[in-house]
Amino acid sequence: MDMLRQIMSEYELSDLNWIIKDQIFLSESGKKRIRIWNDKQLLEWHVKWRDEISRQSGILLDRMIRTKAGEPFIICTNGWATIHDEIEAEFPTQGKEVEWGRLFGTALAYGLKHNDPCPNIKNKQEIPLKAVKQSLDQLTHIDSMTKLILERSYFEAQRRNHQAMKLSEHIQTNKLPILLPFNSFTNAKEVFFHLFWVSGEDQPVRGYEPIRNLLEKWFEKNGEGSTLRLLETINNFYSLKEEQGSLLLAQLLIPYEFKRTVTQLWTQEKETVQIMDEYFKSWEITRKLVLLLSDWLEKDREKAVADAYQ
Amino acid sequence: MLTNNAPRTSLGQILFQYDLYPEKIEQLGKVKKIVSAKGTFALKESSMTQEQASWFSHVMNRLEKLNYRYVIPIIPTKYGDLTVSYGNKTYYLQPWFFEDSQIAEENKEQLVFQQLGKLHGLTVKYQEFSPEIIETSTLDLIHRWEKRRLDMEVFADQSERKIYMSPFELTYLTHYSRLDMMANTAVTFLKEWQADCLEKKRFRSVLCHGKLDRTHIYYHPNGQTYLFNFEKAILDTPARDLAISFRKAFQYTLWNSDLGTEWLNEYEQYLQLENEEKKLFASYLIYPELIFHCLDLYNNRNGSITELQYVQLLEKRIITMTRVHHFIHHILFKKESSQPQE
Repeated sequence: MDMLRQIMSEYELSDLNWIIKDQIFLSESGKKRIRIWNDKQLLEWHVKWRDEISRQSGILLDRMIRTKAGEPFIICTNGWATIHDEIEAEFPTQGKEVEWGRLFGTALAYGLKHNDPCPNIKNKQEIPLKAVKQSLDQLTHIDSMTKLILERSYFEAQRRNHQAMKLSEHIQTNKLPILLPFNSFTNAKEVFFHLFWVSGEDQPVRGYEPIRNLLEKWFEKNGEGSTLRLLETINNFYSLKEEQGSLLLAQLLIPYEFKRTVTQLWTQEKETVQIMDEYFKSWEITRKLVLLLSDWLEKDREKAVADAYQ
Repeated sequence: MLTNNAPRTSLGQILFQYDLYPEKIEQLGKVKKIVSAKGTFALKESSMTQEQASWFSHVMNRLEKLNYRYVIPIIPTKYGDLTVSYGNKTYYLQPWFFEDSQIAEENKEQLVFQQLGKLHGLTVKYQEFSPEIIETSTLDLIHRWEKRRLDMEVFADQSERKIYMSPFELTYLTHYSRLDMMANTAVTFLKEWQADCLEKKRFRSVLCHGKLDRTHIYYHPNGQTYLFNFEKAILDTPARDLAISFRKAFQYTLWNSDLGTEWLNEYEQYLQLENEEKKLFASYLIYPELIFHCLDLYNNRNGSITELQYVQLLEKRIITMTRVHHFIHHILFKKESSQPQE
């Protein structure tokens, strides 16, 4: 059966026309997006996550629109299909720290409370720093100056890695929140001046990498004051001032940008100059962010790290 | 279609969850009348907390499962939720009814008690017996009543000490000893209920509406009646809910025993009260809360109604309570032996 006909028969939606075939359609209730899932467990995790985060935070998410029978999905040829609102207008970041903080603070609190082993958790395979160094040594097609810079950076990266490990060892808990990856600010849409978060269909991840990505992008875009306001709001919903804050700091210390740069130089998808520009920028942002977070955490307790960069 | 030209209020975000784009909105108390291409709806604003809203949704779902059709349906959001939380408020959507039936005023309460009986009859259940629950709830209520009674005693004492009493105070003092006696009777009935429950080792609970009166019923022109506003719904003894509705109904008419008999008969078509439940019902009914509430109004008067009107209100309520006393002793408990020893 044609997908639109199936949707029309199973949902309270009418006047359906494709905008992008099999992806986005127009209905009398506005634009809607179809998502196809081939992993039912992942789909059910997403349904529950969105329902709970929306209920607890009061923020709109791209929740699954229910069928006439009240179900969050339908069975289709390729697995399971869900229908969501498709919003175009983007939600700002600057000046909207409260809304963003509430969303991520609620997601963190929920993710820490419900962090039981889930078969769909994406387990990231960390490449050891030494292996990255070996990979760097084998790079022959880059100029000697670039190589020299990276070789010097390696020692700094090692120090950061060591600090991150040391910090994590001091923490009593190994409980980490489960979160959806943070990819871009464009997932934040605006509905009647309110935040509408597009959760997508990614696998959830364990740990603070999504928050690191968010904070780095936020800091780059909005600067120190706004980042502090964001941290304060997150902290209203999820205590970052204790062990979990240190685990976030440890995450920020891991020299991902070093590893990423060596990989990019191998694949050469971009010009070396561009790769190195991005590397310097990224290193600097992370450095400033570590200091900012460390100072912010220090307000209430002993300074834990920061020396890593001084 | 979605636009961002809407006012910066919560309404856009709430209606978005129903895919409703209003053409006209009218504010009528706590209800917004929403006229849209999809139809006309009533959006109710309530102060339910998230926890209360979740219980409210559970109640509505339960009534649907029990096939109870006499309730105005709640329209779910496109995400399947029966309520929407925004700030510290909870909202829910219901269809808007244009027509109202031309039902005679005097028949309205009969339909209230019919519906209450149906609701209780459908949801009645014997609860697991716990002497501690019976004991605690009895003591709590006695304590609450006693505290309230003492406040009223203080008011009487203060009034008595005045050189010139106000007409309201004078009226109150004239009837004070009778009111005090009613409060004692309420406690006696309550203790008898407690003793009966402990002896029988059982008690019943029903889904209580919590505030049912004629303003929470829609009288459809087809003759059918539909309940709404289950925000205060709770699992409790049928006696309490019945007494609440009786008290609420008193305000619409100068009540008498015959009316009370009619109402009770309407109710008991669907759920016959057990003897100990009648005692509890009598206890709730005879406790002079109506009068005490009148005193609260008088103590907090802001000049919106005159002294004479307060006196008239008090007199009306005293007459009602006298009739309640008669109803309990001559109708509810026809046999002399059923009466508590005063």
